[in-house]
Amino acid sequence: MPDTTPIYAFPYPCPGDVVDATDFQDLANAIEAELVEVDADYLLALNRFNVDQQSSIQTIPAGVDTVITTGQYTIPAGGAGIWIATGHVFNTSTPATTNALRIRIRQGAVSRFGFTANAEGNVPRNAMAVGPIVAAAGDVLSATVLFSGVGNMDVFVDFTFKMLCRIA
Amino acid sequence: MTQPIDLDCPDPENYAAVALQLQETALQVEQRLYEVERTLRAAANRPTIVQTTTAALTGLASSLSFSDIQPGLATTTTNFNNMPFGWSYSFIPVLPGPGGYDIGCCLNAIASGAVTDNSLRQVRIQQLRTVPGGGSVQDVVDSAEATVFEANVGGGMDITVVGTFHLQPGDEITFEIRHQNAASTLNISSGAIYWTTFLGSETAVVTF
Repeated sequence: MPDTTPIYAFPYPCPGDVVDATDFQDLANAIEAELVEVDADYLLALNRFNVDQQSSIQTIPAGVDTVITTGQYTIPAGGAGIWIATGHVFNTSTPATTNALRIRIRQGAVSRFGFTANAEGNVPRNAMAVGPIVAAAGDVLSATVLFSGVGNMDVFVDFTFKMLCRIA
Repeated sequence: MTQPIDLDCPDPENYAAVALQLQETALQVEQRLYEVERTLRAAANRPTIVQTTTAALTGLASSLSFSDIQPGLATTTTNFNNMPFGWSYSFIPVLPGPGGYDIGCCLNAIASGAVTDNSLRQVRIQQLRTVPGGGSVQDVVDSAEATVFEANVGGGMDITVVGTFHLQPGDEITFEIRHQNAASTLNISSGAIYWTTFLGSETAVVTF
């Protein structure tokens, strides 16, 4: 009765089995399938997922934690793992009053971490948050920005997403 | 007839030898592939630990002295850990040995009551090393910090700190905060994140 190897389950016949070409073919195909997996590991080891992208400029109202609708990133297939996400929000406008600027990085609709900059006295301030995300393939990484003050603020966010470690 | 996989007896009647040879081939290939895959995955998956608090750390008094906010002081859960050894910030383990590490934390610092507008919040990560022959005396080898001033717009202050540290076995890593919110004590909200990843050894070759 045929058996398999303990780790990759490569098939082989046992003494007493009738051996034919199919046994060779099955073993060859199983080895090739595992070689494809190793090739994927090789590619990932050399070329880890890294993303650097910017959102468009978006107008946000004071006092509303607003989702930045562009520049979002979806974790690709094979990308389940630990990612370091960075969001750097830049103010490109001059609202009537600015007290604080906050950015939070989200995984789906859940805020994970953020950074708040005190901008009282209309001091121009940017804010940058960086931290880890335990991500699954298909997760959407994005940001919300909250501006405290009076009027509207035009902002854009510079995102980087770096895959640190694969969950496999 | 080609000699398949170096069999001495490829004759059709010698089925048992062919079966044994296929088994041996399968096991040999598996051993080789496993070694390669293990090496590649070690390269792709740097040792990393991510921990998150599931309860607030409360009652931090206003002071210019720093207070500990180490993971574990509030209830903490480990989200991910592929460190190939027991990891402790209070005593860096011998493995994987001297090397570069990224260490960071993300937290929300919020007043427990009244807010002192524009008051200091400072979070720092320090690397400490025991002085040889100095008993319990420790030198500060390196640090990373973030300083913010309370904007008093509600929700406290979100703070993230990250630094790259060159650690030696036995070094200690501390996470600390100080603040001057005189009107009330400060809380670190549930959901604070602490993380470390091993970037690389200072020696050319390291095995886990």
